[in-house]
Amino acid sequence: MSFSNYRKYLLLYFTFPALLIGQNTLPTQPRVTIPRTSVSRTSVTRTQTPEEARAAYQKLQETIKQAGVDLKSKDENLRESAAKLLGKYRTSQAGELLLAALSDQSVKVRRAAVHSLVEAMSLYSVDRNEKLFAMLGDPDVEIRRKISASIPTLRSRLFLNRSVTITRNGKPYTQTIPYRLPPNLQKAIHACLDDEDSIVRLNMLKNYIYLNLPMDAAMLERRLEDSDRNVIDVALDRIRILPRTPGIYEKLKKIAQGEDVGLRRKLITSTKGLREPEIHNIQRDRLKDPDPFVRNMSAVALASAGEKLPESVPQDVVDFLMKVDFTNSQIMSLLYSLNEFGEPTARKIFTQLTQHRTSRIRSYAWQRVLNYDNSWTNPKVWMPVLEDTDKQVRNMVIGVVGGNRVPVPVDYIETLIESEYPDVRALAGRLLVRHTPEIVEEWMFDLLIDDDVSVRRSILQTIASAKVEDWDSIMEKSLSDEDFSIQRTAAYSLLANYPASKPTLEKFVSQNPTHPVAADISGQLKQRQ
Amino acid sequence: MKSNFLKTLSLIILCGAGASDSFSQSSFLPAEPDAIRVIQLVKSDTLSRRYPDALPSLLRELNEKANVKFDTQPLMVNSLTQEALQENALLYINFDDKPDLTLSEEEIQNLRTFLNSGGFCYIDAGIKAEFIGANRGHSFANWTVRPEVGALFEKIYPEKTFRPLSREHPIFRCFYQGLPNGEDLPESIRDFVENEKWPQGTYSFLGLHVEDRLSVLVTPIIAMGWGKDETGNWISPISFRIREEAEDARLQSASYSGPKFEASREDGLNDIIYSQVGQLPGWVEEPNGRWRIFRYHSGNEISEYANSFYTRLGVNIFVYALNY
Repeated sequence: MSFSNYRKYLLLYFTFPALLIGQNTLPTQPRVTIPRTSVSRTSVTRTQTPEEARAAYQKLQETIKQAGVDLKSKDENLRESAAKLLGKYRTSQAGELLLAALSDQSVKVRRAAVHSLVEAMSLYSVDRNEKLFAMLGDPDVEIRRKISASIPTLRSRLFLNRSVTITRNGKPYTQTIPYRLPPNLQKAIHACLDDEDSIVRLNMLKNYIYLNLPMDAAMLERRLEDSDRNVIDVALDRIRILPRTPGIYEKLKKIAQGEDVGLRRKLITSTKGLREPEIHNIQRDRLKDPDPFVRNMSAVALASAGEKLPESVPQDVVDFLMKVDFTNSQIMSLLYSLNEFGEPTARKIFTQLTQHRTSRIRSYAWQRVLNYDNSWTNPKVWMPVLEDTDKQVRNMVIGVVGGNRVPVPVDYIETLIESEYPDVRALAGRLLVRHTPEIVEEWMFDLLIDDDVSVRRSILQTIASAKVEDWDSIMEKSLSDEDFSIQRTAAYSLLANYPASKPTLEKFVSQNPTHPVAADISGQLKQRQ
Repeated sequence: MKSNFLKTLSLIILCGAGASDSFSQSSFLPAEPDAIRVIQLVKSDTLSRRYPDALPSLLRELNEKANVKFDTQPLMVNSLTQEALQENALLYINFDDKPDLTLSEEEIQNLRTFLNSGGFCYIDAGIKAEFIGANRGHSFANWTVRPEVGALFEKIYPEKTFRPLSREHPIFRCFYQGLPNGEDLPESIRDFVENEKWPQGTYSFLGLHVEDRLSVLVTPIIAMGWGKDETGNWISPISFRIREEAEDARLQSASYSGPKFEASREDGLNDIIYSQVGQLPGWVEEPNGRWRIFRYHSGNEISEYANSFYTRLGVNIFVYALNY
C-alpha cells in the first residue's frame, strides 16, 4: 500500500511517533551490543618495572648459560633436554648453542636441536640456516622428514637477496644478487626426492617449488609411479610446470586406467587445458569412466579443445551436477568450466542449475544466466532471484542491481517493497533514487515505517538524495529515531545541505548536548565554520 | 518419540569397521529421500562458520563406512525453533562459531523439550582450555566444559552437571575401536600419542544425562579433522602438541616471560602451564611434581593420523547417537 501524499505520513509521524518508529523518547546512548568475553589471563598485561626487567633478563641469561653447560654433558638425556629447552627462546645465543648441537653424535639430541631451531627461529644469518638445511642429508629419517616439511619456513630465512656495490667506469653501482642454493644443498635436495622414506619424498615434492630449482622430467616420471599414492597425488600437481615427456604420458595413462578414483579425478583436473594429442586421448578414454566426475570433467576438457561430443553429454553433466549435494574446489572447477560448451549449451545448463538445491551452485548459475544478454538491466530476469530463500544468493543480485544507473520500473519496485526479506525491501529503497522526487514520495511511506533499520536507512538516503518536498523535516525528525545508524544517516544528510541545515543542527545539539550524534554533528559543524 | 525414531534408524547401521579405505564413488550420490538430517545451529547473520566442509564430509564418511543414510547437507538454523527440533533428532553445534552463544527463553524451552523427548545434542569445541586463547582452533584434553556452555545448560537443567565419560564408554568403540595405524608416526612421539594423548582411541568427553541417557555430549574441537576433498585428501593440516621429557629441575628454574594457566586433568587435579610471550605454551608442571616440555610436531604423516583419528571419533559419536 502506498500514499500519494507524504504529508499523511508526516502527520502520522509527528502525531504518533511511537507508532512509526517504535519509541518516542530520545535515547541518550546508541544501541551497542558488547559481546560477553571471559577475562583471560593473556589479556592482562602489566608493564615491568626496570628492576623486574633486569631480573627477567638475568634469569634468561642464567637459563641459556645452564643449557649451554648441559649441552656439553656426557649425559645424553641432559643434552637432549637442553636442546629442547633452548627451543623456547628466540635469542641468537640459544640459536648458536643449538647450531653446535646439530653435530651431536646422539640422534636424540640432533632431533631435538633441529626441532628447536625450526620452531624457535633463533638463527639469523643465511650461512647458519644453510647448516640447518643441510640436515636434509642426516642419516636419521625423522630429521629428514622435519627439514623437508619445514622448507616453506626455512626458505624465508635463506632466500635473502644480497646487495653489492661495484665500480664501473669509476662510478659505484649497487647490484642485487639473488640467492642460490649452494651445490651441496642442491645435491641433498635431489637425493631426498628419491629418499627411501615416502614421507620425505612427499614433503620434498610438495615443497620443491619454494626452492627455485628446475624440475627434472625423469624424477617426475618416477614419482608418478611412486609406491605411495599420496606422492602420486602431489606429482600430478606438478605435471603442468614442465614439458610432458613420452614417459610422463605413459605414467598418466596408467593412472587414468587405475582403480584409484581419487587419482583419476586429480589427473583429469590437472590435465584440463593441456592441448596435447596424448592428453586428449587420455580424456577421450575417460568419457566412459565409471565415476561421473571424471567422465564429465573429461567432456568439458575436450569441449574446450573444440572436440565435437555426443549430444547426450551436456545433459549428463546437468544430471550429475543436479545430484551433487555439496560444493568443493573440484565441483566448482567443473561448474566454472561449463562455458567451454559454448553459449547455447552452457546457457541451457546454467538455467537448469538455477534450481539447484545447493545455494552456492544456484548463486553461480544465476550469475552466469544474468550475464547473458546483459540481463542485469532486465528486472524480469533477475526478479525471481530475489525470491530465493538464501540471503547470499539474493545478495549476488542486490549487489549488482543496486548500482545500476538505469531506473527499474515502479511496478517491480512495488513487488520488492512487499518482499518478506529486509535486504530486498532495502534494495527497493535504494532503487527509488533513480526516479523523480514525486515517485519517491509516492512509495516511501511503507519503507519509512519498516521494522528493519536497513530498510529505513536506505529510504532515508533516497529521500535526502532526491530532495523530496520537506525532506529536511523528515531528517530532523529522524535524528530522534531509536537507532543510532538512522540518526547518523539523518545527521549527515542534513550536513550535506549545509549551510541551509545549520539552524536545525545547532538546535538539535543545544537541546541534546550529551547525545552521541550531537557530538558528531558538533564536530562537523566546527569544521565547516 | 525420538528415542524410538533413533532406534529404528540404528537398525540400518551395519556393525564393524571393515569398509574399504579407498575413496568411494558413492560420495557424489544424492541423499536418499528418507535420509537423516542433522541440524546445525549457527547463530550468526552470515551463517559463516568454522570448517564448513567438516560436517558434510563426516556425514559422507558415515554413509560410506557405517552404511547409514544421512543427508550430507546439515540443516543450518540460526535459531532453535520448535519446528526444526521436532522434525530432527540430532543437533550439532560448533561452539567456536559463536563462543558467546546465548539462547532465548523460547529456545531454551525448545531445547529442553528436544532433549527430554530423546534428541541428542553434540557440542563440538564445548571444551576449551583457557591457555589456547579465543582465536586458536587447537584441541586440548581439558576436563571441564567451557564456562559459557556450563552457564547455558544451567538454565536448561539446573539440577544436572556435565560428567566425564569413562575411557570404557561405548561411544569410544561403537563403530571404530582403538587408534588408526600409527606406523608412520615419528617414533619419538608415537608412545605419547598412543598411551597418553588418545589412549585406546579415547579423548576428553563430557556428557549430560537425561534419564540415564547421554543427551548432550561436549568435546574439545574435533571438526577440524573431518574435512576431506573429493580426491580423498584431508583439508585441514593438523599438528600435535606433545608432552616430552625434559629435566624437571631445569624447567622448574627456567626463565619464562608469559602468563601461567591452569588446565583440568582427568583425575580432577590441575596442570600448570607456562608460556612465553608470542609463542605457543612452553611447558607444564603436573600435579605429581613432574615437569614436561611442550613440543609441536607437524607434517603430512601427523596430519593424516590426526585427521583419521578425529574422523573416527566423529563417526563413533553419530553412530552412538543413533544406537543408544
